[in-house]
Formats: sequence, structure tokens, C-alpha cells
Amino acid sequence: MKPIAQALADAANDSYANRPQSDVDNNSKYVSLDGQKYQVFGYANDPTTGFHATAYRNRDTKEVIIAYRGTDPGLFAGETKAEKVGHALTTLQDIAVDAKMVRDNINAQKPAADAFTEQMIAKAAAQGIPKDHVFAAGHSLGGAHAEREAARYGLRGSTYNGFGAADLIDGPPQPGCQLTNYRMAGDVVSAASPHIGEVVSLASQDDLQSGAGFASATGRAAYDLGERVASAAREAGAYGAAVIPWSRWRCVATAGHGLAGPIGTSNSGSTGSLA
Amino acid sequence: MKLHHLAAAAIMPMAVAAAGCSKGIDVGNDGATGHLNPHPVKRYEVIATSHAPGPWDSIKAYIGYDVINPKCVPMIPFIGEQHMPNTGLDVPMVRVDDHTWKGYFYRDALQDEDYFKLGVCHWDVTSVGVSTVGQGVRFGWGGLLDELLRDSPEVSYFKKSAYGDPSLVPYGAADFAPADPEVLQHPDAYFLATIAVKEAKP
Repeated sequence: MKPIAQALADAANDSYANRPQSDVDNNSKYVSLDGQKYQVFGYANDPTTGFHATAYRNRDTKEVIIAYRGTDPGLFAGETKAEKVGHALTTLQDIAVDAKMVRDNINAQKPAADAFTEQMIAKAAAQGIPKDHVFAAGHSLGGAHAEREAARYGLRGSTYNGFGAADLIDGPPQPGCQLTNYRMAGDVVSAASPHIGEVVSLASQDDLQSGAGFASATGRAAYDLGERVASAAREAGAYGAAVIPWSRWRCVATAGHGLAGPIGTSNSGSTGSLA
Repeated sequence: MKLHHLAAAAIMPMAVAAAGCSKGIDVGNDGATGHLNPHPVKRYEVIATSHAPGPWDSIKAYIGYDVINPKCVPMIPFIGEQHMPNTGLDVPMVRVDDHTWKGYFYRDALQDEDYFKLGVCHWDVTSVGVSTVGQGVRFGWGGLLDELLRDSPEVSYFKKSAYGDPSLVPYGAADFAPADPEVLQHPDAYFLATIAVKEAKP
């Protein structure tokens, strides 16, 4: 794990808390991410699309993390609560084979996500924090937002069992973009769509433990959903197969000779393993 | 469905009044309504100091409360994460001298309750901050409760030029660590702000 990966994972996790606006307005609410003090720096709650995100600032390292929350696409599909729950379960199994509902959900949230990212970059700049100290993070469908926003605004970041956003960006990743997408082998959400940036597959529980940051963001989720994810994956034929989602876009730290571009549709993405 | 809502809306205030409870507190989870603990005993003192170049138009403490045992909170279907209940309460700060203010909060101000039939949710203070406004710019400093109890006062610095800087009105001023290279190089350009928290008599 890279040094800030644990804090990014904790932020992805923390972003599921609904916050009172006073946390931001008072400029003095703190949370612990990777055992360090972070100030709640910004919060977005768009009731129309269900988009949520929280930003955090570390006083000592002068780093800002923007964590995008993953939304359950099933929550938008049903009329009654029972229907919604039913949809959520079928959606989980649909994801591996048909991600249209996920894409529609993320596309609907794009304007709110872009607006929040721009606000946070502007607020950071006003407080003397440059863009290369602003990170994107997200878990599950929040990972798709993190990938998209990092590509669009040239940010560094990490995703955790995230939905790949290579098909969801409007143009090539901007200079400064650097992404590590941590995923657990057998996870269907992160295998459903190609990613932007580096993909790190964690194969076993041992990997999860050595990758504490990842475990923190997705370990509980994986624990809770383990069997449901596994059965969905089996149905989709993904379990046990080589589910390495190849990256279609490179996303690099330094621009060097120019913008990243399409580099093929089947491989060339950099992958690695923590083990 | 709508009728039910109307009925609930009509009955709720009466039920609350009859029970003598405080108004429900939004704690960021649709399945939970927070309530103030009617008999809090864990009283704490927060002491703030600052040497800003001008007066504060307002000063208060902002206390962050969180549910600290995740097992009492259900997982969000499919996502497998949780909407951990949390809220923040304002506490008035009373002037002690030109540079010192004092206020009191209860660590057990929120009532522990079994919101989800998964066991009693326990509340605790996780964050204590001071929130001030000077010439329209918000200044905030503070920290995590366990760190403040272990190592108080916690020291922050602000740029003197941030006080009264109109460009910071929408964003607030940033605090700096004592070890920040900019602070060490130009100490005269910064002013000091501290916060300390300690147990107080009930």
C-alpha cells in the first residue's frame, strides 16, 4: 500500500456517513483517517440524484481527500421499499453481465460530482493547497466517480472494489491523474468494467490483511456480502476465472510527453499484485 | 401512504410533548432519531485561546458526536457499508480574558438507544473544535477528543493576513501546524490559537 492509501480507504468508508452541514460550516469537525486528524472540508448531498461526497483536509500534510460515495442503483429502480430491496438484489447479479443501470446512475450524478470536485479544488487553492495535493477516493460505485474525477481534473487517488470508469469519461485523463484500483479477486463490481489506471488484485484473505487499507474500506463490505457476491459471480461465470479488468486508459503522474490516450481495448493496462 | 404520513406528523409532536422528551435530532440515518440524554453526567471543559489581530464577532465550540459501535447499525443493502449516526452540537463559549474563552459540554449528551433492533447504539464525543468568525472569515481549530484528552492544549497557527481577507469569506481560513515550515520561517506573520479539553465536575 502506498502511504496515503490507508487514509484514502478510510475516507471511502467514512463517506457513507450522512453529515450535518454544520460540520463543514463550522470549520472545526475532525475525523480520524489512518489514525490521523482530518478536518471535514466539504460535503455534497444532491437529493435529486442521490450523489454524496465528503472532502477531508489534513492540516499537517496539507493534503485534501475527496471521497465519493457509492450509490445502490437498485435504490432508484423501485417504487416501494420492498421493490427497491428486490431490485437491489437482482441488480447485484446483473452488474457482471449488464452494467447499464450502473452507468445511467453514474451519468446522472456526473454534474453534481464535477461541481463538488471543482468546489473542493477551488477551496483547497484558496487555502494554499495545490491540486497535486488533492486526492480522489471511492468504494464500489463511488470508485467510478473517483476514477472519472481524477481523470477529468488530473488528480491522484485510489479506488476499492470500484466500478471501472474507462467507458464513462468524456476525454483522455488529464496530466496529474494517477490511480490505483484495489480489488478483491472474485469481486464482480470491479470486474464489470475496464478501469482507468493501475489495477491491483488482492487474491486472498492474507492479501486483505497485508493490505490493511483495502480491508478497511471493503473488508466489512466483503465480509457482509461475501456469499452474495460470490454467488452472483458464480452465476456470471466470473468466479475462479481470470477476472483482471484491463485498463483502456493509462493514467500517469507526470504528463511527460503529453496526454494519456487510448492504448487498445484488450490489454496493456498495468496490473499488479500485493502478494 | 400519504395519510399515514399526515397522521404521523399530526401525532408526533403531541407524543413527544406528552413524553416530555426533547425534539428528535437528525443523526444522518433514516432509521434513527436521536434524543438528548435527560441526565448527562460526564461534564467536560473546553478552553480556547487566540491572539488574532482583531476581535471575534462570534465564538463557540462545536462538539462532534458519533455512534461508536458499528454492530448496532445495519449494512446498506448491496453496498455493504453503513450510515453511521452522527451529529454536532454547539456550545457557548464565555470570555475569561482578552485571549481566553471557556465552555462546557457533556460527553454523554446523546441518549444511547437501540435504533435498529441490533443492540444499543453508544454515543461518544469524537471531535471538539472552536469555531469563530472575524470580519466575515470563519476560523476553526480543534481535534479528536482522545488526542485532546491525552495532549492538551493543541496548538494551531493562522495567517494574520487571513483575518479580514475577503477572498476567504466563502471558504474559511486554514490552520497550520506548529512545525509547518512556513510558520517556522515567518512566525511574525502568524497568530496562535489553542484548545484544551479536560474533565470537569458534574
